[in-house]
Amino acid sequence: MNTPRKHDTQTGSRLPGPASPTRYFGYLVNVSAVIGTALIAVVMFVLNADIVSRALFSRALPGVREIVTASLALIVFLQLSSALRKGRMVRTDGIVPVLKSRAPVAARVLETVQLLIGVGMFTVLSYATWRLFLSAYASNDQFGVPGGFSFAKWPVQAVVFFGCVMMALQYLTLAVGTAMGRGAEPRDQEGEGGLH
Amino acid sequence: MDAVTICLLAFLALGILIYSGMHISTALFVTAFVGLWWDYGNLELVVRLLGIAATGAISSYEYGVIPLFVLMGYLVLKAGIGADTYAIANRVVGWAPGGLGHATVVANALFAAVTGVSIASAVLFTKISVPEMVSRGYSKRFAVGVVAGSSMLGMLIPPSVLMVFFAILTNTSIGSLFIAGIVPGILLSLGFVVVILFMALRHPERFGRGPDVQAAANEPSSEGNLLWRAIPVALLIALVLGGIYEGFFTPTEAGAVGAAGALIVALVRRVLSPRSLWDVLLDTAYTTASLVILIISASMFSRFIATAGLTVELTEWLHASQLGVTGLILCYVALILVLGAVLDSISIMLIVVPIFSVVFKSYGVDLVWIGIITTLAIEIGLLTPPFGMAAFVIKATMPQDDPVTAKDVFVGAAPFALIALAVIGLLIAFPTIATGLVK
Repeated sequence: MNTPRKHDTQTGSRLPGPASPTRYFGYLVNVSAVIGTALIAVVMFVLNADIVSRALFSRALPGVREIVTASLALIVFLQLSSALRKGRMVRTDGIVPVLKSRAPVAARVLETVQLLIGVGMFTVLSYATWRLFLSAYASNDQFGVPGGFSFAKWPVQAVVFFGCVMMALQYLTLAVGTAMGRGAEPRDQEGEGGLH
Repeated sequence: MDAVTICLLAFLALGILIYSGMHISTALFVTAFVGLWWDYGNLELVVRLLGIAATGAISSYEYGVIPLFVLMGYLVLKAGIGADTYAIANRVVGWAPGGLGHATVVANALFAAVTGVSIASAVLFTKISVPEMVSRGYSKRFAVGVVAGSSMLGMLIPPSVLMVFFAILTNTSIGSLFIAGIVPGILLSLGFVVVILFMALRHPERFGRGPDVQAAANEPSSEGNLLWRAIPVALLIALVLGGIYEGFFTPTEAGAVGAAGALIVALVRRVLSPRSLWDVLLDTAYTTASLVILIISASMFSRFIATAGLTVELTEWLHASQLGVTGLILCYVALILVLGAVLDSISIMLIVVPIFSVVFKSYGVDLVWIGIITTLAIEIGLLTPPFGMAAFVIKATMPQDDPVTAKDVFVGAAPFALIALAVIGLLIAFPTIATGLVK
């Protein structure tokens, strides 16, 4: 956990071609990850500011609940494709390490199929969240209470849709890479997923 | 095909997919998708349900608790608070027979109260306490075993990511679960201390030259220094757990306060450059994204299970079978332990809890109590072969020139797994151990 992590933009250099679409896609993944990451600090700050304000001035800040709720959606969907790219999606090792050493080709086929299923699922989700975005835009649904602190839901829905599309594309990139044997999906050090 | 057959097939498919190394969230998505499609026969409807699950699952303020406690955990590690807990524990209990073992347990308990993941503890204490135990002549098996065993405390003592998962899956209060984990956590620590004492008295030869008070006293940390190290730990625990218990903070706010507190400690100690702060935030964001997508996919899967009618059938069948609540809980724990041998903790939670929580509700059982039992039972899976996570993490963390086998860890951790089982027994017999503190 103390090993220095490579800076985001450096990963772009591993991608092929100076101006290939995958490279621009890589930048897009990183930029959205940066925004998602910064939002975590914002959420921490807003919650603490609210507590201080309540303690010192007996006054809650308006809209904290709504900001935290919306930010979480943004954090998750802005960060998801980057987490996938960095091998941070949770999985069990299971048979893959054994298969890799005994039957590398079979392992590659298996991983490619798994990644393609990921493409399929996030394509479906992209379509589903696009429809939700359209209906949120049309009805102009709001976070919070009307008259009080509120803001429109559709920009958040748009980010959710964007995140799903990025995931489908990232899965596709990984699937193609794995199929062509250009180094499989990076596997993170055990425990970095930090779940247990 | 009837509902039960479909669901059993779905579980089998899910197990195979997870086991073949597919991302757990994708495995849950695809099983739920195919299953729902089969149930409804209407693709349009299924797509709409999936979309609602994707956004509905995150339209909740409570989920904010995840990034904040994860952030707090990373900052606490960076601030060196894990090493502090070990120094404090060593001073307090290091004099007893098997002293470094006790110190590891107590340090884990303290560290667990400021962090939400037990693998983090396993990594940390493999680095801190195993080398010291080995150099003082403790048996290596015991050294890795006690680290693996006490890493269970990481999830049982709040804050705990597993409890957050349970709370979200069952719609239980996160704060209540956290509070309910405190007494069982202390009980488990005491059980560990007793078993170490027993082993140290019976086999002093496995515990080196006995209590090495001399060396502990010669450490560079003077009393004042130790106090300086103890204050941040005490303050963070008081703020987070005290704040939730007294109702000053929601769990989400407590996470924010704890993260800010850990950040201040790290800044005061000058161990955090802007760059490493950014790395910590990045790690937090990755972990958050991967955890929340798991919750989203699990909510789709449980939607499918509910639609297929398995929970209804299972509930009716169990009621008809005259199995009492105790019998039901025993079967439930046994199921988790069996799954624990082949799956990781999060997968078990995602598969088992959505179904059984409905059953337990129909029996009128307090889900907070069940949540604590579930967490502990799942954690035992970390210690059982062939796939106990803790064993592999410790194995991977040990230095190359001083390796251990997974078997060493499993054997060394066995006494601690048994203590944990005993605590589950006590919890089933006396629910107040868990629910007593909950208001």
